[in-house]
Amino acid sequence: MHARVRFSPQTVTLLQALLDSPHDWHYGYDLSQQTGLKSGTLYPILIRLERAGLLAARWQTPSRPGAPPRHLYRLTAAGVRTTRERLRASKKRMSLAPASAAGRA
Amino acid sequence: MNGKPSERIVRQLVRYARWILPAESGDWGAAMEAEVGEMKDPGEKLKWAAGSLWVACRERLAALVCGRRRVVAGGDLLALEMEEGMRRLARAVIVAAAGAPLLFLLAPSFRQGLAVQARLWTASFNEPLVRAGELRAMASEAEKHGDAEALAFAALLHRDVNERAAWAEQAVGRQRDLTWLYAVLLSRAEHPAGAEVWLGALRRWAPDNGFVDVLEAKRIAQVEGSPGDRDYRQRVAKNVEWQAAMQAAFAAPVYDCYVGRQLELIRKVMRRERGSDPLLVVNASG
Repeated sequence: MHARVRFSPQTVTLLQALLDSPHDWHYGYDLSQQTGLKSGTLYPILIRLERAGLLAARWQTPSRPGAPPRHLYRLTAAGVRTTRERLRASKKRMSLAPASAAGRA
Repeated sequence: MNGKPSERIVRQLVRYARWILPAESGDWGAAMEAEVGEMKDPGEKLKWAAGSLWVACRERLAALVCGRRRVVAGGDLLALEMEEGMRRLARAVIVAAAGAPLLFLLAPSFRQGLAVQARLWTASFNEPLVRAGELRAMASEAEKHGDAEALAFAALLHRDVNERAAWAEQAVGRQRDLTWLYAVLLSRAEHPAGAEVWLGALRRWAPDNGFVDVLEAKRIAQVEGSPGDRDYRQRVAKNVEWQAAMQAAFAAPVYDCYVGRQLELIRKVMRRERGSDPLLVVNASG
């Protein structure tokens, strides 16, 4: 069976946000604010990316006593590479789109 | 987090989310929960927690329906996806599971049961089980055909005091042995205007029934005010007429509040008119 690859607009938005500072670790809440994605959309994508090896996750030691540890995320090397390739490919598709439309006309 | 209701709801939602998440996703529940502590706005917290619960349900469903996942060779994008065939199967199962109960709606008895449940639910908000419009239509037909029993039936189920009084008078005018209807209606609410006439008719029709004396006592008590008034009980107890009416009630050889006749009439008219309508059955038995 052939696996279908899904690259949803929400995933692209999140990958772009992560790619803006690929070496920094990000909190889930910050990513949500940055991308405008709600937790119900954001976390399934994070989970998929992490399982795919495109995203690294680690726990941060609590900054104040009693607070729970927070999860941090950043792209892995493979994630950075895949994201760049994907973004490049989609930009190329977008730049080709008007030409092919004109060609059909 | 403090003990505000919204905080408790948030805490409960994220707790459920952690509980629902499959074991292999356990860390993600804690991750979503930890972020809630960083938010200030209660509404935002609530939305986040609801989103967390949604994620947990999705993950659990995916684990149940499509446990098998694989990484796509070549690392092309988000490598992990469910296989297309499995995804289709999962969708089909979900649609079938969601759609199958709707087939029950094809069965008339199921729809009828549903309607009864809905009516019972609205009845809890003081909505009548049989709508006034239906009863008016029934009473109008009964008037045309001189059907005293149907008029009495409508009077028994109707809520409008004046209309049901008029129907009751027509019913009794046509059929004297329905005079007990006055007693039932008088026992239900405050006595309407002309209650003395009804009581007189009842006394002539059933002179030995102590229930009529109780209704008379009720009418007398009504003159003293309403039960919520201060010293109402004391005033009523001191009323000589009330004492006499109650004494007569205790001394009466018969006490019949006509429940049997009432149910008999309802059953009879239901069989004749709308025998299959469970709403009336429910109403009559209530």
